[in-house]
Amino acid sequence: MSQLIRKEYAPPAAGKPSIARDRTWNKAKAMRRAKPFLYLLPALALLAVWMYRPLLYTFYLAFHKWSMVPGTEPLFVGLDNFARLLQNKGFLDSIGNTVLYTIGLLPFSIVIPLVLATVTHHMEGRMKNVYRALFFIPMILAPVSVSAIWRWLFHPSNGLVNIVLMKLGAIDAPIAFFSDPGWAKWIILLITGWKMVGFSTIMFAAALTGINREYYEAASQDGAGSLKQFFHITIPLMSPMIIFMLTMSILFSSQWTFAYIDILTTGGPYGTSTNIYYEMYKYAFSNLNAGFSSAAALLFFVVFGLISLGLNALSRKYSFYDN
Amino acid sequence: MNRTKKRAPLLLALTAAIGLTGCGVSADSSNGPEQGQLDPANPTKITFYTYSLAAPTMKPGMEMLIKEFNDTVGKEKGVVVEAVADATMQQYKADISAGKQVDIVQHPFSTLDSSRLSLGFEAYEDVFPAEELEAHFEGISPNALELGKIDGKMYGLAFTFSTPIVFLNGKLFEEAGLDPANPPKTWEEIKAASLKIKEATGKDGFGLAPNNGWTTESLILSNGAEVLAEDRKSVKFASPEGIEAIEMWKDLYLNGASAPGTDSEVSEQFMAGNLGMVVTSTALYSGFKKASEAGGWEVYGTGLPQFGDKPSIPVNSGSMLAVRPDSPSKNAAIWEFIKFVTGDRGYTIITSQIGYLPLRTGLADDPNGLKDFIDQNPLYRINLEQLSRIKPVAIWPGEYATEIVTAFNDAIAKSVMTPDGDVSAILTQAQQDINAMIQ
Amino acid sequence: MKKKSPIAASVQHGLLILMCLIAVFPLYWMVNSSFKNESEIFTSSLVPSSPVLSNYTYAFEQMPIFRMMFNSFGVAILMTALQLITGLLAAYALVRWRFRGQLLIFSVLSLTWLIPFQAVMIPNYVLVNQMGMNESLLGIVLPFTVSTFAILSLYQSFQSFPKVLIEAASIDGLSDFNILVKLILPNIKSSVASLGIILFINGWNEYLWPMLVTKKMENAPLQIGLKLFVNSDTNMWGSLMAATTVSCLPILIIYLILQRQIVDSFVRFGIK
Repeated sequence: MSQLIRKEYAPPAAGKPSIARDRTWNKAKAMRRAKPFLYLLPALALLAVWMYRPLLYTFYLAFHKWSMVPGTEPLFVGLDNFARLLQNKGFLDSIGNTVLYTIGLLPFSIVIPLVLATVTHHMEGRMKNVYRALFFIPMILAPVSVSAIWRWLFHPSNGLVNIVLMKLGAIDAPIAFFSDPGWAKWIILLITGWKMVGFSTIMFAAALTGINREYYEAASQDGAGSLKQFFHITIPLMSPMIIFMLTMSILFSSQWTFAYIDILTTGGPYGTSTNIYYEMYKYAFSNLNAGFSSAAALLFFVVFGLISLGLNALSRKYSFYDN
Repeated sequence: MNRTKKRAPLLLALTAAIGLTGCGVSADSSNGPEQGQLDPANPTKITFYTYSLAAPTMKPGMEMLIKEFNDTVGKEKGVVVEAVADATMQQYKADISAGKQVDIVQHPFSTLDSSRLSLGFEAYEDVFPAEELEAHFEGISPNALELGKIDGKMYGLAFTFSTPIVFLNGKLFEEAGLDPANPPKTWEEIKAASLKIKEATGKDGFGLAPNNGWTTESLILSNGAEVLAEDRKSVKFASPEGIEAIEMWKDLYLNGASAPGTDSEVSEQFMAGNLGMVVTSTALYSGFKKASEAGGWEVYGTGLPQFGDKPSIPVNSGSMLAVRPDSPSKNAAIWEFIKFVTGDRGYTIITSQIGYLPLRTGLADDPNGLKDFIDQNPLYRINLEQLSRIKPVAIWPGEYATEIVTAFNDAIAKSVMTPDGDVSAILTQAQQDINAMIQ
Repeated sequence: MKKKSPIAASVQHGLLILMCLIAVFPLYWMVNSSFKNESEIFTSSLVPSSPVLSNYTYAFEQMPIFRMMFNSFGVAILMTALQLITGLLAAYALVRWRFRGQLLIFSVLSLTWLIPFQAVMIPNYVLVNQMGMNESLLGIVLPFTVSTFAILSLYQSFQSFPKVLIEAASIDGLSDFNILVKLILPNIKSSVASLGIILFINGWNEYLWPMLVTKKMENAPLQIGLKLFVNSDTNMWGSLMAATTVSCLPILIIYLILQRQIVDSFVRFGIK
């Protein structure tokens, strides 16, 4: 989104203020110069305290060992945390899972919604709004509520899912979804995806309305079938939105899955459903190892920074605007 | 991307300031056994972090225990106990690191060492007078006293604990043509029984959650292996006997007659009458009993199964009382509370209301104590009998104890649950990793 | 233009209905389960045959639900208000004047959006504890007083406001602050409202930070209190569903009333 902003609504060029430079130090002028900063002050000051300083402090802690107990001080250990981190099996597994979650979420955040939005695009009237309203509900529900519901649905002996599967004869013994190493992460993925589908669908549907119908008419007249139209008209013209959702999905999927992991599986069984954010959280507040957690944070800040730079470049290259 | 690094010096100064002004408890306040004076007119307040208060089946019992103390001894001597429910057993850590007053913690056994090293818990010998300790410990089974000792010093007094026993569903046993009053004694017999139950009734025959975190050690010890070496400097569970024990479990788990799921899910299944046997703590007995009465079947019990004719070695579950007094009057106040809750009256309440083992085994025959209760709940005798063979559950050494617990449990769960996994390889790898963490 | 064949239409409706079912069924199941009594809860009946209220009474006994709801509202409202205020001021500054460092500040703000909370949670936790603000509403709200998302969104809204009007007002002698409050604000009310709704929902659903800061049910927002209930109670599924239903009610009610607005807000902010 930030890149879209920059591209379409670039801020006025920074540089000399339009007032002619005057050598006299005039109080009014000083006030005028300071004004923007005064307005920016609350936001920037608060961000400095709660965002920037902590970020730097985290980077600092990455090189220390500390248990956060008052009365103890961080102890400098150099690169030791990083070394331990890279040898820690659980951590390495979690990286794999993170990748899995990120990629696995894409069908739910991009593919299915795109298809749904396109197929239902030409619907009229009231029903459309009713559908929209209903689709959106998963998005506004809080993670804990969602987790409780799904935990109940997937309960090993008495959950609806198991009951139905047994009745259909698909399985002959109930599956303990959250304790099963094969299933746990997929269920987490499913739940996160469930929450996202409605949101993405609506976003794409809205973007679709921005596409000029004439393109489709012209293409039909030229004999292009709907599939061709989809790939050559719809997708390119939707590319800003698609890239936006792609960016959001890649960068935030790990955060979205966090709550579900914490409530439903705590990363188990034996680490098969955890992701890096969850590991970071565990190192800090369960193992009371602030240095370890911070080292992981630093590592991933770099990695995600690179990824977002990459996505930025992608966006510039592939975004196609109807100009 | 601009990262303003020029804040670094300011940051460092700030950090140093924060570190130095971190208030309160420094990690080694050894107050010596100096007891302060308690004044009933001016009661000393102590905080007690307990997880039992957050579990619905244990809450009433724990509340009763604390209230009775506050109303009797507390009032008399001038101590007020404020209980904090710690559902996740993490709250006390967070509160200690937040600088709050945390005096007594109902602490799980396995992570005691790391708490000792980083959270300022004290040894009983260092804060309570020797004669009082000696007098109080009379009547407590010596094995039980060992459970909370690290390097010869007691950092925790076993509080609510039990040993694992096998609960049986009488109805399912009978339906499978087995006699619940003559329960399986070896793992071989358990396996046979579970398969029979599954075949005859369609319900799972056996349940033991792979990530249970303590009964696992019983298994390993019962086969003659060690978990933690005697000198606490290394782990040894990946010995041939250990591997053999876990392989037996894996075979049992994957034979189609075992219930999957976590400890609570397996217990739930048992309570719903859908499981033939479950291995878990006696603390769940009252819940099981109620469920069985509602469901129209009977609960039977037997001791931990053995490997062949090697006697089984149960380990302890539950918790102990770990203390962090930071002043002489706190010392005295805490000691009063501990004396009460681990005294005769305390254990009478704990066992009859919550379901854990009485540390003072004499109570079982004491008509003013637990005699009636035990008579009505004969399953407890199984537990008391096993007490003679109990070995402490591993108190993982060093400050990385929490990570070690995770690594250990994960390795066991993986070994048991993966059909084509190599148990020996998984366990050996875990052993190496954990040994590295201990250094 | 695609002709609307009946097959196409029914496929479309079919797909949508399926989607809606998938979206809404879990909610339905939650409410359904909350009214089932102990013996029926483990069945798959779609409607309870003899509905009970006992699950709800138990839930209300075990948790200080109204207190927690109050906490949730408090947190969400405070966060929204503070984020809007700081956002309005900051966005105004970026739009109204040209000054040195503008581009830098703008870039930094855009990137701040990407910082995951986990990267700053430890220092913030330590700070809040030192300030003694844990277990308090303020402690929950403080790290979230500024939302860069809000700043950037408001920035766009301001962009679409005609500059000439601002300049005219300025010449007329209106102070800068009054220009913001009396001229611009009334005209972008709907954008601000939409943003406010999004911020409110985010505040209501905030998970990690409130969980770190509050451990006692009375001080926790609804979600965290519910989580403590989820973890401690494994058998009382009926009550758990009742508690969850109650936790969903406020936001669902708000959604019902403002539904059009809400969906539109999310869409609007995504497109730009």
